[in-house]
Amino acid sequence: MDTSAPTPTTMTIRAASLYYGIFRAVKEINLCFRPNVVTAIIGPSGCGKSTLLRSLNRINDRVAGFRVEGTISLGDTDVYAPGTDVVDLRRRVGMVFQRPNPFPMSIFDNVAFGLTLYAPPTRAALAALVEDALRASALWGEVKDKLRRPASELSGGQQQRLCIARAIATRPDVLLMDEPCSALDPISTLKVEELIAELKCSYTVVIVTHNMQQAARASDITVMMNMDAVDRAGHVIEVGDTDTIFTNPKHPQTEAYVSGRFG
Amino acid sequence: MYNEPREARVTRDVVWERRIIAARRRAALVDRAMTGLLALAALGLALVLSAIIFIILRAGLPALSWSFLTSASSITDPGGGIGPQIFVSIYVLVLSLLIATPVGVGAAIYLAEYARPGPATNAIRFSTEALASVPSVVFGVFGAIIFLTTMSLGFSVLSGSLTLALLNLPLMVRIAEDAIRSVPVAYREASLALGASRWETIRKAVLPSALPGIITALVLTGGRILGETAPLILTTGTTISPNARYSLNPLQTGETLAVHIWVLKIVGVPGLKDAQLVADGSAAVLLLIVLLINLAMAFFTTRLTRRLRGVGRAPRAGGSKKG
Amino acid sequence: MRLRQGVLAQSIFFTAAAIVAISTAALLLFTGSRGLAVFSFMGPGEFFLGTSWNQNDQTFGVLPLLLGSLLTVGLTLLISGPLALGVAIFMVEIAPDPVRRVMRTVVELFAALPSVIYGLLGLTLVVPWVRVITGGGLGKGILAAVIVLVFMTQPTMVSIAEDALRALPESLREGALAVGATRWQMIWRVLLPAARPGLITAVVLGTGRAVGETIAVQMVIGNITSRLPESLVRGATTMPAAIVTQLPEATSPEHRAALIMVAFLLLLITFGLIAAVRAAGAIGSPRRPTRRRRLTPTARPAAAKGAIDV
Repeated sequence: MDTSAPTPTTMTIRAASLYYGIFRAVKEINLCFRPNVVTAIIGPSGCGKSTLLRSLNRINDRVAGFRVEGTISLGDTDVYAPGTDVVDLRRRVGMVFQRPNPFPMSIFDNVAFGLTLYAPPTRAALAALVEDALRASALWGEVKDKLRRPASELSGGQQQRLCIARAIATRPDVLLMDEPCSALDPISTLKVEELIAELKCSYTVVIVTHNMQQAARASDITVMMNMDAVDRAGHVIEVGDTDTIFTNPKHPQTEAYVSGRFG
Repeated sequence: MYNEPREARVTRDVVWERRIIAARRRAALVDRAMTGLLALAALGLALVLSAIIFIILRAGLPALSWSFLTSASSITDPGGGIGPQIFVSIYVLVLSLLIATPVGVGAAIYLAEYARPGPATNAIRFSTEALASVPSVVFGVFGAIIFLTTMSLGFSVLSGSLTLALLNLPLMVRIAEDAIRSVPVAYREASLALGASRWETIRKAVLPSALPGIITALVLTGGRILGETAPLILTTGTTISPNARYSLNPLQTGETLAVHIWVLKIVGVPGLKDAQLVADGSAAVLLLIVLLINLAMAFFTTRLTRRLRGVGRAPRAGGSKKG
Repeated sequence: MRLRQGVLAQSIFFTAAAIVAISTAALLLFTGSRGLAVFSFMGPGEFFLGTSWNQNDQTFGVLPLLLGSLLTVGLTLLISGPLALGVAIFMVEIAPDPVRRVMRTVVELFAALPSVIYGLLGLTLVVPWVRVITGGGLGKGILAAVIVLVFMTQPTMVSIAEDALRALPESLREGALAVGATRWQMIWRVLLPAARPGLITAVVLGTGRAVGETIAVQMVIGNITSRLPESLVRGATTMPAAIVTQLPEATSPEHRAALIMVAFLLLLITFGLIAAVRAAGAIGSPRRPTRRRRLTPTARPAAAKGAIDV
């Protein structure tokens, strides 16, 4: 595991267990997500990888009964400390969801949404920022002539890239992606994967995926999770360079999973 | 620009960042203020309701006694009761439900089980929807034209019951139709697979499981009938003939409890010293009935549904998140 | 035999359904024809533009009634719309489950209270209060009616607005929060615009309730039909209040026809409101094209209902 000193944009998880009520969904996680690295979390359904990801920006707080033991920190901010400003945290930790969830407003307004929440920039500056975000998410060419059209008119793949543009427009430190391609066709998937590879230059990227080719193609580090057969809690089986995990896994469960024998 | 490290961006945009921090503090304040304001609105509404119930009961309960509920009303002497008004209320309630139920449930069965898309079905659907939004006083006027004048029933319990039956048809159709539609397809299929005809399937499989919903429709309608005032003023009248106080003759004029309150407070009964007390007592009775109906509804519908359907609620899709 | 029974059953149910349709037609036809008869006694100008409604000298200008209704309903909406919206937002987005259940009971009970009880309370609480703050007068008038109506319209508006907000997919909320919106920003900038068609429906149907309310208003508004409404605290009237006050005593054919015409106008207004609701739905639908609906995981109540027929 990574031993270098954490930067302000490193997410660290120490001895964390995640609960729904009394059920421990994820147990004893120790992980470190470094900047400019794409970390993929893989594992079979129900192993708690989405729960883990959704706990990083505290979006899972919305689920009744959810609580966290252990520490999760961003730089030196304790994410779950009582005094933590959740709104500020979520601005620093952006998220892209499983299914594209554009707001029912124009393409422009979708991207501008996060930018205009606090101290909105001038019109011109806003337009420039929106353009930057759309360019960065490889959508600008497709939508530059219809920025005022409703976002719902875009295709599924375009909508997902719009959601990525919305997430990066506010320039977060960390970008979380929860199976971002699961609702997309292969061509859109490829575009989003290329995008992820570019985004890692400026972000700490964590991506949960079901798709092993995707993990192999798009990530640098891979975390393999599985459900404990006894207490049904998800836990980390193995962490390593993506290449190593896919070509020379140490753990038999990882090997079975990446070779497609279960999950 | 997206390739710059964050630190560089921060130092460059330090002024902007400072503005953002101030704006964020403001937004947090607005968020808290609005949360408080919304909670206050809800709390206010709950308090007003409690106040309404408290005030009505405090004013009315002292008037209540067995003799108040059973003895005849008086237009001259204090100490009169509301017996005849309660009788008329129940009479109108029963009569209008007797008229409305077969029509309403029948129409609901037709819409849920037989209707095919087409102009006739559209017309029926549109009319239930339209009828549901018509103000009750318009039904009163219609009743006054049709039943009082055209059919020359005059101000009578029958005119009022017919009017209220009409008034409550849409609500009844809607709830009953929902109930019938929510019967699982599997029930129908099982029955049809056993060789039952469509009508037999409806009678033996669909209607029994839709029964809780249909009962809900009846109870809700009943509650509305007891509280209805305006259409009754125009159709049953505002008096009870002193020599036919408990008469079952549907052609008698009548005055329900709700109308009685209105008469005491608005039309006025000159010379009756305890009019206010009688009105308060009547209001308390009316309120208690309404509260009772609602409590019973809340209790029975969940009970009945569970027992007759034998299933819990279907899990809500999209409600909780998987891990 | 079995076949005959089936046919008989179907025709009985069809008759029942037909009765509903025929009743609606009859309602429209009879109030319409009897009401329009007013124009055999006076010109439309005299009826629609007349500023006095006085049965003693047989002048029936509908403006005092129309303006009274307009003012009463308009002012009611100004207060009750935001209030109901606030309560609905509180119930869906803020309140924990037990509180939400309590609030739902509160709203249901508001709906269950008979009009005459609202009227009685208006008479014993609101009217005296208006009398005190205006320092004299009867206290009956539009202000008192508005205060009563604000509470009477809450159940309709709150429950429809609540349904509209609840039907929004959770992904919208998560999306807004994930870019760092506060809860209020999420509500104000994403949820309310997304729920707009449903919220418009809530307000329109609340309007319908306010326009048609009769007894509670009649008891507190003073029922002055002979002149236009002069102020919010002086006696005035509304269309339904005038009908219920005068129709039982109306003897002359002109008077009766004029009152029935008012009822017909009420009928047209409510049908107009239904049309508005449908239009609001139509405006709303292109904003949610089929593609997105297919992708959102949240089951819509309508969709769930439709699934049973399949």
